Amino acid sequence: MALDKIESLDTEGLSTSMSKNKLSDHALIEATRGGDEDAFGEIMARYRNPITNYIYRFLNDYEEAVDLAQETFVRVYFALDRYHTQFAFSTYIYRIATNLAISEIRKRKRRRLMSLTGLFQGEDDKTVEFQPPDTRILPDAELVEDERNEVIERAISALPEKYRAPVILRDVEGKSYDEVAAIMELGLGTTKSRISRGRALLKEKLQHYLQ
Amino acid sequence: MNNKDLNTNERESDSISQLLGSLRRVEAPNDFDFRVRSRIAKGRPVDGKANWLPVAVRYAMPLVLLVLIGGYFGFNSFYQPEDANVPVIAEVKPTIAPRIIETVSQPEPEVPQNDIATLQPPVTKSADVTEKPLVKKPLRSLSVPGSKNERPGGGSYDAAIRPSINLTPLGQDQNSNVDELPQMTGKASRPTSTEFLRSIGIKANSAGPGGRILSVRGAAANAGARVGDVIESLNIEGRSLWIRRDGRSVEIVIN
Repeated sequence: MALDKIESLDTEGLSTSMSKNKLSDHALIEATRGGDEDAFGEIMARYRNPITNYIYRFLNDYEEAVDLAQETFVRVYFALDRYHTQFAFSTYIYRIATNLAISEIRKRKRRRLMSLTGLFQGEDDKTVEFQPPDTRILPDAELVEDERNEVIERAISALPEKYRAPVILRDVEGKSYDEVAAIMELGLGTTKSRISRGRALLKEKLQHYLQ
Repeated sequence: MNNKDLNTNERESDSISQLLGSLRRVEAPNDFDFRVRSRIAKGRPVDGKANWLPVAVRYAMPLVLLVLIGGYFGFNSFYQPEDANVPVIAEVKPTIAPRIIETVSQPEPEVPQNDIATLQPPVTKSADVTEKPLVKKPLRSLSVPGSKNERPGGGSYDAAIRPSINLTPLGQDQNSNVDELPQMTGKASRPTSTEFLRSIGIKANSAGPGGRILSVRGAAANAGARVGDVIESLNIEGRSLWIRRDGRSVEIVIN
């Protein structure tokens, strides 16, 4: 009897979870506003990996990326009342994450300016020293892959702030130009221009990997 | 730029896009949800600003403080009482109160224009005004001439700056006979300094400290007062006076 009850509860939970999977972002937001904590859990399940990956590509620091991704969700939660459903939720949450990441980059700049060791480094946008790839033949394909990824990450980190975000959103996160423009709060033409300019800067540094 | 270049650029741009898209995606840690919920449970994120204060108060408080501090210093610098910067050299106490006399119906006698010392304001009868005795007492160190405590000389600054005004009753000539005392009908019971001096036979150019004895007779002459002595203080009740003679203070007691 008890086993039946547990099974029925599990079934209810499963069905609830499945039903939440089918809900739109806006419906989940409304449910969260109504006090449904599971709905907010579903929002986190949908966006925690993309947001973490996005911030990681922005900062090239996993721990910081996780911390800022969590901060993004905390801000979303406390700002739910101010969220207007005429905008896409993904645009909204990416905008918050972008702002947090840019703030973190600027904090790092200030910290570097104030530190004595920072005197020997340049600005964040230009000073991440880009090292040319090692062209020696590596025996292990995985090592080659790792090195390639590392070079690309450093190249992205070396991009100026205004080019970095649109390029990551477009080429890493796969957002459309319209979505990138909405997240960055820029015009479509400006967005395309920045993406193009960012790619051009990357091309100079990643020429070796281009076929 | 021709079409070939454009195509090349597009291809390279696509290649960059593919290269970036091929990056391994990182994932959030397993305890991500738990940590987010614990943060939410702690409360709102801190922005590092004092958000609990309304904006108006945040700007008004320092402004009010500035105004208060500025007002304080401004008030002190622009508004100063007239005597604020006058150094206090000596406290001058009036030793002679206005005399109580009857209003004289006779025309005022002519006052010599060249003798400023005899000028005095007209005094009208007032029952509330009483004469005060000379309150200055002799210093203990000046008690006995020639003793260890004898003052080496000089005089009080008070006495030095005091104008030599001979206070005489209205209508009474300063040089009149000291025995011819004016009729006093006031309610004052104690004699004034001038009356006291006259009663003991001293005529001085001033009844107050610094007054020089012009003539001596009677009890004062018997007690040792001499012409030229300078009065330092009077003790009307004790019937004595301190005078300065040859740089020394001498007490003369009237028997």
